[in-house]
Amino acid sequence: MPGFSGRGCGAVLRHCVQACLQSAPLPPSAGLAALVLLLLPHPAHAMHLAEGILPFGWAAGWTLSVLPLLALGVTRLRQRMAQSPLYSPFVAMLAAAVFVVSCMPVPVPIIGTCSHPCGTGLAAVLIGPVMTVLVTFVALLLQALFLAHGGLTTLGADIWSMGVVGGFVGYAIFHALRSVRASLGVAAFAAGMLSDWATYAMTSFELASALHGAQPLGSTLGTLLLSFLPTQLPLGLLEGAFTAGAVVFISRRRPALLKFHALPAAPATP
Amino acid sequence: MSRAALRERVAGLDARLKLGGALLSLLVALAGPAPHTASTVAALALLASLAVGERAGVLLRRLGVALFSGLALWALHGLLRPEASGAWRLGLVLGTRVAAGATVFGLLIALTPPWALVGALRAWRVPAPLAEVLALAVRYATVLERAAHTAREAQILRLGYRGVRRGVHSLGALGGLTLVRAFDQAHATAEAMAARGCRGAHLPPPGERP
Repeated sequence: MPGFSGRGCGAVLRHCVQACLQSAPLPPSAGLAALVLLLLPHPAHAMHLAEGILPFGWAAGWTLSVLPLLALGVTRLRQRMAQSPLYSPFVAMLAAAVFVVSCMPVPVPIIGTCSHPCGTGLAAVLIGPVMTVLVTFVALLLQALFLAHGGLTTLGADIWSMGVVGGFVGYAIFHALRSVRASLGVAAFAAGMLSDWATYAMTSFELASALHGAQPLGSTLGTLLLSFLPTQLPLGLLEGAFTAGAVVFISRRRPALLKFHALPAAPATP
Repeated sequence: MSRAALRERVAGLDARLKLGGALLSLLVALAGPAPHTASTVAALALLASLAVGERAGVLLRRLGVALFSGLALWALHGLLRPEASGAWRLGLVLGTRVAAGATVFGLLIALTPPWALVGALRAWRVPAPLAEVLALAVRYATVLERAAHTAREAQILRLGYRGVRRGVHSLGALGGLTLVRAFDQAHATAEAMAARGCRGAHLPPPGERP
Protein backbone atom coordinates (compact mmCIF):
# COMPACT_ATOMS: atom_id res chain seq x y z
CA MET A 1 0.00 0.00 0.00
CA PRO A 2 1.20 3.52 -0.58
CA GLY A 3 3.21 5.41 1.96
CA PHE A 4 6.86 6.16 2.18
CA SER A 5 7.66 3.40 4.61
CA GLY A 6 9.90 0.40 4.59
CA ARG A 7 9.51 -1.77 1.54
CA GLY A 8 6.29 0.00 0.54
CA CYS A 9 7.94 3.24 -0.52
CA GLY A 10 9.44 1.59 -3.55
CA ALA A 11 6.11 0.78 -5.13
CA VAL A 12 4.73 4.23 -4.42
CA LEU A 13 7.70 6.02 -5.81
CA ARG A 14 7.85 3.82 -8.87
CA HIS A 15 4.29 4.80 -9.62
CA CYS A 16 5.05 8.46 -8.94
CA VAL A 17 7.78 8.30 -11.51
CA GLN A 18 5.61 6.37 -13.94
CA ALA A 19 3.00 9.11 -13.69
CA CYS A 20 5.60 11.80 -14.23
CA LEU A 21 7.05 10.02 -17.24
CA GLN A 22 3.72 10.35 -18.97
CA SER A 23 3.37 14.08 -18.32
CA ALA A 24 6.74 15.76 -18.68
CA PRO A 25 9.87 15.76 -20.87
CA LEU A 26 12.67 13.63 -19.50
CA PRO A 27 16.18 15.00 -18.85
CA PRO A 28 18.90 12.32 -19.12
CA SER A 29 19.89 12.39 -15.43
CA ALA A 30 16.30 12.15 -14.23
CA GLY A 31 15.68 9.42 -16.77
CA LEU A 32 18.51 7.36 -15.32
CA ALA A 33 17.14 7.83 -11.80
CA ALA A 34 13.66 6.97 -12.97
CA LEU A 35 14.96 3.79 -14.59
CA VAL A 36 16.68 2.77 -11.36
CA LEU A 37 13.53 3.45 -9.35
CA LEU A 38 11.31 1.60 -11.78
CA LEU A 39 13.51 -1.47 -11.87
CA LEU A 40 13.86 -1.88 -8.14
CA PRO A 41 11.60 -4.70 -6.93
CA HIS A 42 9.50 -3.59 -3.98
CA PRO A 43 6.29 -5.18 -2.78
CA ALA A 44 3.57 -2.62 -1.94
CA HIS A 45 3.51 -3.41 1.71
CA ALA A 46 3.15 -0.41 3.95
CA MET A 47 0.55 2.23 4.51
CA HIS A 48 2.43 4.62 6.75
CA LEU A 49 4.66 7.60 6.39
CA ALA A 50 8.17 6.60 7.40
CA GLU A 51 10.03 8.20 10.27
CA GLY A 52 11.67 11.42 9.05
CA ILE A 53 9.62 11.88 5.90
CA LEU A 54 7.76 14.92 7.25
CA PRO A 55 9.56 18.17 8.14
CA PHE A 56 9.39 19.20 11.79
CA GLY A 57 6.59 21.74 11.35
CA TRP A 58 4.32 19.35 9.49
CA ALA A 59 5.02 16.45 11.86
CA ALA A 60 4.27 18.65 14.88
CA GLY A 61 1.18 20.12 13.22
CA TRP A 62 -0.39 16.76 12.40
CA THR A 63 0.43 15.43 15.86
CA LEU A 64 -0.97 18.45 17.73
CA SER A 65 -4.11 18.53 15.61
CA VAL A 66 -4.93 14.89 16.34
CA LEU A 67 -4.57 15.29 20.12
CA PRO A 68 -8.13 16.64 20.69
CA LEU A 69 -9.57 13.63 18.89
CA LEU A 70 -7.43 11.29 20.96
CA ALA A 71 -8.54 13.08 24.11
CA LEU A 72 -12.16 12.70 23.02
CA GLY A 73 -11.53 9.01 22.45
CA VAL A 74 -10.02 8.62 25.92
CA THR A 75 -13.00 10.43 27.47
CA ARG A 76 -15.43 8.17 25.59
CA LEU A 77 -13.39 5.14 26.64
CA ARG A 78 -13.52 6.23 30.27
CA GLN A 79 -17.32 6.62 30.10
CA ARG A 80 -17.77 3.23 28.46
CA MET A 81 -15.44 1.57 30.96
CA ALA A 82 -17.66 2.81 33.76
CA GLN A 83 -20.64 1.18 32.01
CA SER A 84 -19.03 -2.10 31.09
CA PRO A 85 -15.81 -3.74 32.29
CA LEU A 86 -15.66 -5.53 28.93
CA TYR A 87 -15.17 -2.35 26.97
CA SER A 88 -11.50 -1.59 27.53
CA PRO A 89 -10.36 -5.21 26.95
CA PHE A 90 -12.46 -5.22 23.80
CA VAL A 91 -10.94 -1.99 22.49
CA ALA A 92 -7.48 -3.37 23.29
CA MET A 93 -8.21 -6.68 21.53
CA LEU A 94 -9.69 -4.82 18.58
CA ALA A 95 -6.53 -2.73 18.32
CA ALA A 96 -4.47 -5.93 18.46
CA ALA A 97 -6.79 -7.50 15.85
CA VAL A 98 -6.44 -4.46 13.55
CA PHE A 99 -2.68 -4.82 13.95
CA VAL A 100 -2.90 -8.52 13.04
CA VAL A 101 -5.31 -7.89 10.15
CA SER A 102 -3.02 -5.23 8.74
CA CYS A 103 -0.22 -7.81 8.66
CA MET A 104 -2.22 -10.24 6.51
CA PRO A 105 -0.87 -10.43 2.98
CA VAL A 106 -3.38 -9.79 0.17
CA PRO A 107 -2.44 -10.58 -3.43
CA VAL A 108 -2.94 -7.54 -5.69
CA PRO A 109 -3.80 -8.98 -9.11
CA ILE A 110 -2.96 -6.04 -11.40
CA ILE A 111 0.49 -5.20 -10.09
CA GLY A 112 1.43 -8.76 -9.19
CA THR A 113 2.48 -8.08 -5.63
CA CYS A 114 1.13 -8.37 -2.10
CA SER A 115 -0.34 -5.74 0.16
CA HIS A 116 -2.44 -5.72 3.31
CA PRO A 117 -5.77 -4.32 4.48
CA CYS A 118 -5.98 -1.16 6.63
CA GLY A 119 -8.72 -2.57 8.85
CA THR A 120 -9.84 0.85 10.09
CA GLY A 121 -13.06 0.80 8.03
CA LEU A 122 -13.91 -2.48 9.72
CA ALA A 123 -13.06 -1.06 13.15
CA ALA A 124 -15.26 2.00 12.49
CA VAL A 125 -18.19 -0.26 11.64
CA LEU A 126 -17.72 -2.12 14.93
CA ILE A 127 -16.94 0.62 17.46
CA GLY A 128 -17.64 3.95 15.78
CA PRO A 129 -15.30 6.60 14.40
CA VAL A 130 -14.15 8.27 17.61
CA MET A 131 -12.99 5.03 19.18
CA THR A 132 -11.45 4.08 15.83
CA VAL A 133 -9.05 7.00 16.24
CA LEU A 134 -7.92 5.48 19.54
CA VAL A 135 -7.72 1.97 18.09
CA THR A 136 -5.69 3.31 15.15
CA PHE A 137 -3.28 5.04 17.52
CA VAL A 138 -2.70 1.78 19.40
CA ALA A 139 -2.46 -0.33 16.23
CA LEU A 140 -0.02 2.11 14.61
CA LEU A 141 2.09 2.19 17.74
CA LEU A 142 2.17 -1.62 17.75
CA GLN A 143 3.20 -1.66 14.10
CA ALA A 144 5.94 0.86 14.78
CA LEU A 145 7.21 -1.04 17.82
CA PHE A 146 6.92 -4.60 16.48
CA LEU A 147 7.56 -4.12 12.76
CA ALA A 148 9.24 -0.70 12.42
CA HIS A 149 6.44 0.38 10.07
CA GLY A 150 5.70 4.05 10.43
CA GLY A 151 7.36 6.04 13.16
CA LEU A 152 6.95 8.28 16.15
CA THR A 153 7.20 11.70 14.50
CA THR A 154 4.82 10.65 11.70
CA LEU A 155 2.31 9.02 14.06
CA GLY A 156 0.01 12.07 14.04
CA ALA A 157 -0.16 12.20 10.24
CA ASP A 158 -0.72 8.44 10.04
CA ILE A 159 -3.56 8.64 12.59
CA TRP A 160 -5.13 11.42 10.53
CA SER A 161 -5.10 9.43 7.31
CA MET A 162 -6.07 6.01 8.68
CA GLY A 163 -7.99 6.68 11.86
CA VAL A 164 -9.68 10.02 11.32
CA VAL A 165 -10.35 10.19 7.59
CA GLY A 166 -10.55 6.43 6.98
CA GLY A 167 -12.58 5.80 10.13
CA PHE A 168 -15.08 8.61 9.69
CA VAL A 169 -15.59 7.92 5.97
CA GLY A 170 -16.07 4.18 6.60
CA TYR A 171 -18.54 4.81 9.42
CA ALA A 172 -20.53 7.42 7.48
CA ILE A 173 -20.77 5.28 4.34
CA PHE A 174 -21.77 2.16 6.27
CA HIS A 175 -24.55 3.88 8.19
CA ALA A 176 -25.76 5.90 5.20
CA LEU A 177 -26.14 2.72 3.16
CA ARG A 178 -27.72 0.79 6.02
CA SER A 179 -30.22 3.61 6.52
CA VAL A 180 -31.40 3.14 2.92
CA ARG A 181 -31.73 -0.60 3.60
CA ALA A 182 -28.62 -1.75 1.73
CA SER A 183 -27.58 -5.27 2.71
CA LEU A 184 -24.91 -5.74 5.35
CA GLY A 185 -22.39 -7.05 2.80
CA VAL A 186 -22.93 -4.17 0.35
CA ALA A 187 -22.71 -1.52 3.08
CA ALA A 188 -19.56 -3.08 4.52
CA PHE A 189 -18.01 -3.41 1.05
CA ALA A 190 -18.59 0.26 0.29
CA ALA A 191 -17.37 1.30 3.75
CA GLY A 192 -14.15 -0.70 3.41
CA MET A 193 -13.46 0.40 -0.15
CA LEU A 194 -14.15 4.10 0.34
CA SER A 195 -12.35 4.26 3.67
CA ASP A 196 -9.30 2.79 1.94
CA TRP A 197 -9.44 5.29 -0.90
CA ALA A 198 -10.05 8.16 1.52
CA THR A 199 -7.02 7.05 3.54
CA TYR A 200 -4.84 7.23 0.45
CA ALA A 201 -6.24 10.55 -0.66
CA MET A 202 -5.32 11.92 2.75
CA THR A 203 -1.87 10.30 2.63
CA SER A 204 -1.33 11.94 -0.76
CA PHE A 205 -2.36 15.28 0.66
CA GLU A 206 -0.02 14.89 3.63
CA LEU A 207 2.90 14.03 1.35
CA ALA A 208 2.10 16.71 -1.20
CA SER A 209 1.69 19.43 1.40
CA ALA A 210 5.02 18.59 3.02
CA LEU A 211 7.11 17.82 -0.04
CA HIS A 212 5.83 20.00 -2.88
CA GLY A 213 8.65 22.53 -2.44
CA ALA A 214 8.42 25.24 -5.11
CA GLN A 215 5.81 23.25 -7.05
CA PRO A 216 2.15 24.25 -6.76
CA LEU A 217 0.45 22.04 -4.17
CA GLY A 218 -2.30 21.08 -6.61
CA SER A 219 0.00 19.66 -9.26
CA THR A 220 2.02 17.63 -6.74
CA LEU A 221 -1.17 16.36 -5.14
CA GLY A 222 -2.55 15.44 -8.54
CA THR A 223 0.65 13.61 -9.44
CA LEU A 224 0.61 11.67 -6.19
CA LEU A 225 -3.08 10.80 -6.51
CA LEU A 226 -2.54 9.65 -10.08
CA SER A 227 0.47 7.64 -9.06
CA PHE A 228 -1.54 5.89 -6.35
CA LEU A 229 -4.31 4.89 -8.76
CA PRO A 230 -2.74 1.73 -10.23
CA THR A 231 -2.32 0.20 -6.78
CA GLN A 232 -5.22 1.79 -4.95
CA LEU A 233 -8.04 0.94 -7.31
CA PRO A 234 -7.59 -2.82 -6.91
CA LEU A 235 -6.57 -2.49 -3.27
CA GLY A 236 -9.68 -0.51 -2.39
CA LEU A 237 -11.82 -3.19 -4.02
CA LEU A 238 -9.93 -5.87 -2.09
CA GLU A 239 -10.30 -3.97 1.18
CA GLY A 240 -14.02 -3.65 0.47
CA ALA A 241 -14.33 -7.37 -0.18
CA PHE A 242 -12.30 -8.10 2.94
CA THR A 243 -14.47 -5.83 5.10
CA ALA A 244 -17.67 -7.29 3.66
CA GLY A 245 -16.41 -10.86 4.22
CA ALA A 246 -15.41 -10.08 7.82
CA VAL A 247 -18.66 -8.28 8.69
CA VAL A 248 -20.83 -11.01 7.16
CA PHE A 249 -18.78 -13.66 8.99
CA ILE A 250 -19.23 -11.79 12.29
CA SER A 251 -22.95 -11.32 11.69
CA ARG A 252 -23.32 -15.09 11.35
CA ARG A 253 -21.02 -16.16 14.20
CA ARG A 254 -21.31 -13.30 16.73
CA PRO A 255 -24.14 -10.91 15.78
CA ALA A 256 -23.82 -9.20 19.18
CA LEU A 257 -20.45 -7.89 18.11
CA LEU A 258 -22.07 -5.69 15.46
CA LYS A 259 -24.24 -4.05 18.12
CA PHE A 260 -21.34 -3.55 20.51
CA HIS A 261 -20.92 0.08 19.48
CA ALA A 262 -24.49 0.90 20.50
CA LEU A 263 -24.86 -1.27 23.58
CA PRO A 264 -21.86 -2.85 25.26
CA ALA A 265 -22.68 -6.23 26.74
CA ALA A 266 -21.57 -6.93 30.27
CA PRO A 267 -19.76 -10.19 30.90
CA ALA A 268 -20.94 -12.65 33.52
CA THR A 269 -18.95 -11.57 36.54
CA PRO A 270 -18.83 -13.50 39.80
CA MET B 1 34.00 -4.18 26.17
CA SER B 2 32.60 -6.66 23.64
CA ARG B 3 29.68 -5.80 21.36
CA ALA B 4 27.40 -8.29 23.09
CA ALA B 5 28.20 -6.83 26.51
CA LEU B 6 27.66 -3.29 25.25
CA ARG B 7 24.37 -4.31 23.65
CA GLU B 8 23.24 -5.94 26.89
CA ARG B 9 24.21 -2.87 28.84
CA VAL B 10 22.35 -0.47 26.52
CA ALA B 11 19.33 -2.79 26.36
CA GLY B 12 19.23 -2.76 30.15
CA LEU B 13 18.96 1.04 30.34
CA ASP B 14 15.70 2.61 31.52
CA ALA B 15 13.20 2.64 28.64
CA ARG B 16 12.22 6.23 29.51
CA LEU B 17 15.79 7.31 28.93
CA LYS B 18 16.04 5.49 25.61
CA LEU B 19 12.66 6.75 24.37
CA GLY B 20 13.44 10.29 25.46
CA GLY B 21 16.85 10.19 23.81
CA ALA B 22 15.41 8.81 20.58
CA LEU B 23 12.64 11.43 20.47
CA LEU B 24 15.13 14.21 21.11
CA SER B 25 17.43 12.93 18.36
CA LEU B 26 14.51 12.69 15.92
CA LEU B 27 13.35 16.22 16.73
CA VAL B 28 16.88 17.58 16.35
CA ALA B 29 17.22 15.78 13.00
CA LEU B 30 13.93 17.24 11.75
CA ALA B 31 14.28 20.74 13.16
CA GLY B 32 18.02 21.38 12.72
CA PRO B 33 19.64 22.97 9.67
CA ALA B 34 19.30 20.52 6.81
CA PRO B 35 20.98 18.37 5.69
CA HIS B 36 23.91 18.69 8.12
CA THR B 37 22.06 17.98 11.36
CA ALA B 38 20.10 15.07 9.97
CA SER B 39 23.19 13.51 8.40
CA THR B 40 25.12 13.92 11.68
CA VAL B 41 22.32 12.27 13.65
CA ALA B 42 22.13 9.48 11.08
CA ALA B 43 25.90 8.94 11.19
CA LEU B 44 25.94 8.83 14.99
CA ALA B 45 23.00 6.42 15.12
CA LEU B 46 24.70 4.27 12.49
CA LEU B 47 27.91 4.15 14.51
CA ALA B 48 25.93 3.30 17.64
CA SER B 49 24.12 0.54 15.75
CA LEU B 50 27.42 -0.92 14.58
CA ALA B 51 28.85 -0.64 18.10
CA VAL B 52 26.00 -2.67 19.60
CA GLY B 53 26.31 -5.32 16.88
CA GLU B 54 23.36 -4.59 14.59
CA ARG B 55 23.58 -6.69 11.45
CA ALA B 56 24.94 -4.94 8.35
CA GLY B 57 22.05 -6.21 6.24
CA VAL B 58 19.51 -4.59 8.53
CA LEU B 59 21.40 -1.30 8.51
CA LEU B 60 21.73 -1.34 4.73
CA ARG B 61 17.99 -1.94 4.38
CA ARG B 62 17.28 1.06 6.62
CA LEU B 63 19.66 3.23 4.62
CA GLY B 64 18.24 1.87 1.39
CA VAL B 65 14.85 3.36 2.24
CA ALA B 66 16.50 6.73 2.81
CA LEU B 67 18.49 6.53 -0.42
CA PHE B 68 15.40 5.55 -2.30
CA SER B 69 13.29 8.39 -0.87
CA GLY B 70 15.96 10.97 -1.66
CA LEU B 71 16.51 9.66 -5.19
CA ALA B 72 12.80 9.57 -5.85
CA LEU B 73 12.23 13.15 -4.72
CA TRP B 74 15.17 14.31 -6.80
CA ALA B 75 13.82 12.44 -9.82
CA LEU B 76 10.28 13.73 -9.29
CA HIS B 77 11.38 17.36 -9.13
CA GLY B 78 13.72 16.86 -12.05
CA LEU B 79 10.91 15.38 -14.10
CA LEU B 80 8.25 17.88 -13.16
CA ARG B 81 10.41 20.99 -13.47
CA PRO B 82 13.58 20.19 -15.43
CA GLU B 83 14.37 23.92 -15.73
CA ALA B 84 14.47 24.46 -11.94
CA SER B 85 17.68 23.94 -9.99
CA GLY B 86 18.14 22.56 -6.49
CA ALA B 87 16.29 19.28 -6.92
CA TRP B 88 19.34 17.39 -5.71
CA ARG B 89 19.32 19.43 -2.49
CA LEU B 90 15.67 18.58 -1.81
CA GLY B 91 16.48 14.92 -2.37
CA LEU B 92 19.51 15.15 -0.09
CA VAL B 93 17.50 16.82 2.68
CA LEU B 94 14.75 14.21 2.51
CA GLY B 95 17.21 11.33 2.21
CA THR B 96 19.23 12.40 5.25
CA ARG B 97 16.08 13.03 7.31
CA VAL B 98 14.72 9.59 6.49
CA ALA B 99 18.15 8.07 7.18
CA ALA B 100 18.22 9.74 10.60
CA GLY B 101 14.68 8.61 11.36
CA ALA B 102 15.22 5.04 10.20
CA THR B 103 18.51 4.56 12.04
CA VAL B 104 17.46 6.22 15.32
CA PHE B 105 14.05 4.55 15.43
CA GLY B 106 15.50 1.22 14.29
CA LEU B 107 18.11 1.35 17.05
CA LEU B 108 15.45 2.19 19.64
CA ILE B 109 13.18 -0.74 18.80
CA ALA B 110 16.11 -3.11 18.38
CA LEU B 111 17.27 -2.41 21.95
CA THR B 112 13.93 -1.96 23.71
CA PRO B 113 11.10 -4.50 23.89
CA PRO B 114 7.61 -3.11 23.11
CA TRP B 115 6.32 -3.74 26.64
CA ALA B 116 9.14 -1.62 28.09
CA LEU B 117 8.26 1.25 25.75
CA VAL B 118 4.62 1.00 26.81
CA GLY B 119 5.85 1.06 30.42
CA ALA B 120 7.79 4.22 29.63
CA LEU B 121 4.66 5.85 28.23
CA ARG B 122 2.76 4.87 31.38
CA ALA B 123 5.48 6.39 33.49
CA TRP B 124 5.14 9.59 31.43
CA ARG B 125 1.53 9.93 32.61
CA VAL B 126 -0.26 8.80 29.49
CA PRO B 127 -3.98 8.71 30.52
CA ALA B 128 -4.61 5.55 32.53
CA PRO B 129 -7.37 4.06 30.29
CA LEU B 130 -5.17 4.52 27.22
CA ALA B 131 -2.19 3.00 29.02
CA GLU B 132 -4.34 0.02 29.99
CA VAL B 133 -5.54 -0.47 26.41
CA LEU B 134 -1.96 -0.18 25.16
CA ALA B 135 -0.64 -2.69 27.69
CA LEU B 136 -3.40 -5.20 26.90
CA ALA B 137 -2.96 -4.76 23.15
CA VAL B 138 0.81 -5.30 23.37
CA ARG B 139 0.26 -8.39 25.54
CA TYR B 140 -2.33 -9.99 23.26
CA ALA B 141 -1.08 -8.92 19.82
CA THR B 142 1.18 -11.94 19.52
CA VAL B 143 -1.55 -14.24 20.87
CA LEU B 144 -4.02 -13.04 18.24
CA GLU B 145 -1.34 -13.14 15.57
CA ARG B 146 -0.63 -16.79 16.35
CA ALA B 147 -4.35 -17.62 16.29
CA ALA B 148 -4.75 -15.89 12.92
CA HIS B 149 -1.64 -17.62 11.59
CA THR B 150 -2.97 -21.04 12.61
CA ALA B 151 -6.34 -20.31 11.01
CA ARG B 152 -4.64 -19.12 7.83
CA GLU B 153 -2.53 -22.27 7.62
CA ALA B 154 -5.70 -24.34 7.92
CA GLN B 155 -7.27 -22.29 5.13
CA ILE B 156 -4.21 -22.82 2.94
CA LEU B 157 -4.34 -26.57 3.56
CA ARG B 158 -7.97 -26.53 2.42
CA LEU B 159 -6.92 -24.62 -0.74
CA GLY B 160 -8.68 -21.54 0.52
CA TYR B 161 -6.37 -19.21 -1.38
CA ARG B 162 -6.58 -20.92 -4.76
CA GLY B 163 -7.74 -18.19 -7.10
CA VAL B 164 -8.35 -14.53 -6.37
CA ARG B 165 -12.08 -14.85 -5.63
CA ARG B 166 -11.63 -17.71 -3.21
CA GLY B 167 -8.61 -16.02 -1.66
CA VAL B 168 -10.50 -12.80 -0.95
CA HIS B 169 -13.40 -14.80 0.51
CA SER B 170 -10.99 -16.70 2.76
CA LEU B 171 -9.31 -13.48 3.80
CA GLY B 172 -12.64 -11.96 4.81
CA ALA B 173 -13.45 -15.04 6.87
CA LEU B 174 -10.01 -14.89 8.45
CA GLY B 175 -10.50 -11.22 9.36
CA GLY B 176 -13.91 -12.02 10.86
CA LEU B 177 -12.52 -14.98 12.75
CA THR B 178 -9.69 -12.87 14.16
CA LEU B 179 -12.19 -10.29 15.42
CA VAL B 180 -14.42 -12.99 16.92
CA ARG B 181 -11.38 -14.40 18.74
CA ALA B 182 -10.47 -10.90 19.88
CA PHE B 183 -13.99 -10.55 21.29
CA ASP B 184 -13.73 -13.91 23.07
CA GLN B 185 -10.34 -12.96 24.45
CA ALA B 186 -11.77 -9.64 25.64
CA HIS B 187 -14.52 -11.55 27.49
CA ALA B 188 -11.96 -13.83 29.14
CA THR B 189 -9.76 -10.87 30.07
CA ALA B 190 -12.71 -8.89 31.47
CA GLU B 191 -13.74 -11.88 33.57
CA ALA B 192 -10.19 -12.30 34.86
CA MET B 193 -10.03 -8.59 35.70
CA ALA B 194 -13.39 -8.77 37.45
CA ALA B 195 -12.22 -11.79 39.44
CA ARG B 196 -9.30 -9.67 40.65
CA GLY B 197 -11.59 -6.92 41.84
CA CYS B 198 -11.65 -4.60 38.81
CA ARG B 199 -15.11 -3.09 38.24
CA GLY B 200 -14.66 -1.11 35.06
CA ALA B 201 -12.20 1.41 36.48
CA HIS B 202 -8.68 1.37 35.10
CA LEU B 203 -6.04 -0.94 36.44
CA PRO B 204 -3.69 0.50 39.06
CA PRO B 205 -0.35 1.59 37.61
CA PRO B 206 2.26 -1.17 37.74
CA GLY B 207 4.96 -0.94 40.33
CA GLU B 208 7.63 -2.37 38.08
CA ARG B 209 10.33 -0.25 36.56
CA PRO B 210 9.69 0.38 32.82
